Amino acid sequence: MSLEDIRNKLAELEKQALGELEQAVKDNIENIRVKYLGKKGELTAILRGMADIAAAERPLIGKLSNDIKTRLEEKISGKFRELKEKSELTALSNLQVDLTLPGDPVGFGHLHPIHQTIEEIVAIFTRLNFAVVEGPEIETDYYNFEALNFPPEHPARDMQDTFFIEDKVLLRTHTSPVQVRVFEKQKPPVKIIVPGKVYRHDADVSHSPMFHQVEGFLVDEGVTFADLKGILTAFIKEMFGEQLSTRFRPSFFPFTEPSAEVDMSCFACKGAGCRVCKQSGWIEILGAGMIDPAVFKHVKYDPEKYTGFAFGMGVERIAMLKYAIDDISLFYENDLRFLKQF
Amino acid sequence: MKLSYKWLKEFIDTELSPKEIADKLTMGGIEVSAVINMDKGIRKVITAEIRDVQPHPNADKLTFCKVFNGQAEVDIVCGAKNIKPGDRVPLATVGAVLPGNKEINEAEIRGKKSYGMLCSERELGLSEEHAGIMILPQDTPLGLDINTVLELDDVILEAEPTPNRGDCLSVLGLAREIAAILNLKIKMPKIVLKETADKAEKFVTVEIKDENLCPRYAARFASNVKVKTSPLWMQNRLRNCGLRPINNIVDITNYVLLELGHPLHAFDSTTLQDAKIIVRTAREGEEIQTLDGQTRKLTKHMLVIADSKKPVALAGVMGGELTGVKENSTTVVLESAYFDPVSIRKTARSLGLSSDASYHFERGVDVDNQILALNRAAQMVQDLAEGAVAKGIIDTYPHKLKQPKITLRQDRINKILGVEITFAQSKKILKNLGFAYTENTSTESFHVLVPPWRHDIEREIDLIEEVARLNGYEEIPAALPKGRMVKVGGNRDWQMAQTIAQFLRAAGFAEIISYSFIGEKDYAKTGIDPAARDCIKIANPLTEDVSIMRTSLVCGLLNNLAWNINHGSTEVKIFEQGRVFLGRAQETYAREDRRLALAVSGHKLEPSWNRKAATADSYYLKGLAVGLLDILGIAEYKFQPSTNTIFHPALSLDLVLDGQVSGTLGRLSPRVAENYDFPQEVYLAEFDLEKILSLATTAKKFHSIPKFPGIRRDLALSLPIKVSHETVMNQLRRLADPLVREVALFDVYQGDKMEAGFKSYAYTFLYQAQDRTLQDEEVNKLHQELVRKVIAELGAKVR
Ligand SMILES: [Zn+2]
Repeated sequence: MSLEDIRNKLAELEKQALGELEQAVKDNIENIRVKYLGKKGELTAILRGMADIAAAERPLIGKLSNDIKTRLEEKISGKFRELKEKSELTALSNLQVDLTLPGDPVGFGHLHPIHQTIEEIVAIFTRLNFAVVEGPEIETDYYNFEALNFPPEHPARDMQDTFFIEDKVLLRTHTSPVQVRVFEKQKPPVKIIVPGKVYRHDADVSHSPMFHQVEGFLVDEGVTFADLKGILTAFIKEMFGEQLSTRFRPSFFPFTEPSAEVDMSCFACKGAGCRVCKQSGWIEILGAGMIDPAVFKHVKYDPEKYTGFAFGMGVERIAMLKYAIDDISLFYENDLRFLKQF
Repeated sequence: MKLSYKWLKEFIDTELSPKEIADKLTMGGIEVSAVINMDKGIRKVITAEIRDVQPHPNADKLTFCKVFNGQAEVDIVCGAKNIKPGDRVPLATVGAVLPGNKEINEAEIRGKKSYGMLCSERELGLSEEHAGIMILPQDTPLGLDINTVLELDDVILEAEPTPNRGDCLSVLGLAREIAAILNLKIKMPKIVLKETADKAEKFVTVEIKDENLCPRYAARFASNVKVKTSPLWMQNRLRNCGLRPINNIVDITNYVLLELGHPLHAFDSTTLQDAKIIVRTAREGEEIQTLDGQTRKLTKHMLVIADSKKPVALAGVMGGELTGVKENSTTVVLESAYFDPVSIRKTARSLGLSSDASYHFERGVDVDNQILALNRAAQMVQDLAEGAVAKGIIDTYPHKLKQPKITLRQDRINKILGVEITFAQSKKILKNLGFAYTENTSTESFHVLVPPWRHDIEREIDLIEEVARLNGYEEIPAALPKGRMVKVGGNRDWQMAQTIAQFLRAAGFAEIISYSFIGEKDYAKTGIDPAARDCIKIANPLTEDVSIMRTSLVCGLLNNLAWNINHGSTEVKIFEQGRVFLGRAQETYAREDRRLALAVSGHKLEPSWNRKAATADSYYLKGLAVGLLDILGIAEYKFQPSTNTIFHPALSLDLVLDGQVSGTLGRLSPRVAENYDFPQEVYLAEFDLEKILSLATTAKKFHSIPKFPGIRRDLALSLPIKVSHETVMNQLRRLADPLVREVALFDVYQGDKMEAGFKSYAYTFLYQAQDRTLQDEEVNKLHQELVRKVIAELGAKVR
């Protein structure tokens, strides 16, 4: 055989082997390997014909046949892997299981919607560098009223029906007494947020004898009403949505002056008027104002030097709006069918 | 306060709609909560006259009437008894519509045709009055639309002035406010009096004994008064403002109160002993029968109007029954007084008696307006009751009340508000408010004299608010504070509380919030020893069930558990973080401790088809407690048997921190459970968060991970039943070689396969060295040695 003959034969052999491999099933792959590459296989047979080739050309043939051998071995083992994986997959897929059965419940619990709302409010203000302070729930008349510029026998006290423990001792009707307690202990600047329970002698679908407020206040040199507007506008946007607008209108609280009620545009109707906003397009969300100099007088802050603002909001009201809850008593029934929705 | 739009327009000229006025008021600080159209949808109801009333031939309770509608007589069957020929009444004609879209049609009633219906006040939606047909005044024209006649074309603004704005509780007051906002002029009512020659002093005298409580008392006298129904226009005004017309004299005082905001009172002068009016404090124990028919016992702090013998009115609160104007009264004394707000409020509150008058006086009335109101009323007595008004006013005003004078600095306005309002702008606002002032242009400041109707203005800041309000809050920009950085440190406990809540939430607990107050009943049910409570009680609770400040969170938890089980939730895992109130303290009135409590009933984990359901037990709670302490960084703790009687005596543990019992966990005592009728086992725990949070830390220290592998050996011990795991562990720790890095219990068996009186605890030991890989032989030797000692020390056997 000439060199050319051997070359042709080898090429022919490779082609034929690849063809057979194409058709192979898992079980006869080994047979193909033995047939072409085995000790008595066809490649060996071809190489036997090398006797006629000049010694100088033999290495060339050797390289040629080695290359073919390597290529074929790779193809054969590749094909073997492919067929093996395929048959394994078939076997796995044939497992009879019903994956429509429910998964194992993780059994996660639930935080009270009031707690969640408070946490959301507090988190916004702590990001604005306010510190959390809590105060006592049983207060004296001094902290709850007098130091907050509610004179005795003033009609402003009618705004807050009070539970009394004894003369001059009561359940705090708002979180504002914490202002006085903080001012007594700390010189400006103060920047505080106060979440907590408050109590009023009142119970119906929109009033609970116990409810929650979050109060905030900032006192320093040069704090203005404009700053109050800025902080509260930022808060409302963060809490309820960027697209909401806010409205400040004059109001009255004994411990702030000027005082404001803060409304946000109704998220339900976008200001057009609906049941949620009682057709006004606005929802009352916060009370606020510049801290009255009379409060500073009680805690010996110089009102000519320091100014500050305070604001407060009812958590139940916010949670009711947020989650579309229509009866405040649901918060205190703590029915699991209610709690599990949060 | 109901403000009539038509009435308002008598005081100011404006083309603004009621809604626009409402918005202006609201943005100016007087919230208008509703704008109510008085048009109730009444159609084809006209005024008519009764011509004839006959009994209905076929029905005892009905009458058969002939009614003249201005053009013709129509037949009407009617059920009311109060009509007689000549009465003028509202007639709903055939096709009429009444409030609520009720249509009136021709009808045959017991064999008689009825062409329409006579209406009561309730049928017209005016009031709840439905005892009889509404009788209109005699001079009412016939055949007119009732909407016009009753002024149902008016619009009412429901204004809610804040408690500091007593001056806004009248048409005049709100008109003044709107005028200030809109830069308008006020038109005051014109009063024309034709006084008689006789001086009022001839008929009645006034003496003020307490000038502090009554700085000014003014009165007028009228004779020949005819008490009768008021004209329709007055009735309409009152009705539209929510008041019931009574008679002309009462209506006049009410009208003037609504219009000018000054409460008046009318006495029948013949009932005043010696024709004397003495303003004095009551004698202790003195009595008066007030207009509402009640007899009231007075104290010496209460101001009364008296004659020479007895109190005739509770000053500024309510008149006396015996001295008021009656149907047959002919001589009237009109009182227009100024009373001290605090005194009025105290009297009203201590008697539990609040009236329109006291509401106004408490908020402060206008001492100058007092005379205007008196003259306005006198004129009406003259015009509407044919009264002859005696000459002059008996005006007792010993010391003129002083109005505050305040300095207002322009730079202070802008410093507080963060705006640039000009001196000129401030000046215009003061002018529009009707404030008298002098100005100093070089210092840009004002000296302001507060008008007598503004009791809320005493200081510069009050004036700054006026400027801010009338300039418009919307004119103030929104800035962000540029203040100094503030040290933030107080958030640790708040964060810890969040951590605890999140931990329990992850463990499947739902958070509850219960009322801070409980009742005697709760103590009885939980069996908390009454002697051991140092509880704080509410003096004026809503009910007895919510009258004691809680001393434990357990009551709320158990009540809630009962609620949920009764409402079908049998898998309950709940917790609460909150305060308990434990008697008196120093810095605050009560000691207010934070607590954490949890309750479980049902399974540890929500049952599923794919796992074995395990019922909650004390070990579950113990595990939770340990997990919680771990997450809070508390490594030093101990559990010991509890004596807390709320808990099962054998299945409960106290948590001991720092040598103090700081909580209890375990099964609810079956005796307590019985009181709640729990159908299933209940486990609960309550912890002292004050103690826990004081020990909690977020500090952590890293210990290097062992470099060399360890070898495990197990040991199953057969132990006498009374030997506890804790005892075993203590012994194992003591006896084990230092190379034992870990000992852990991995199995417990108690039952048939054990010798009686014995149980099996199996432990696993990890032997590990810091500096080398341990060999089997070495570990075997150490372990055998340990086993030998354990057997000897614990009376245990190896299984
Ligand atoms: Zn809306």
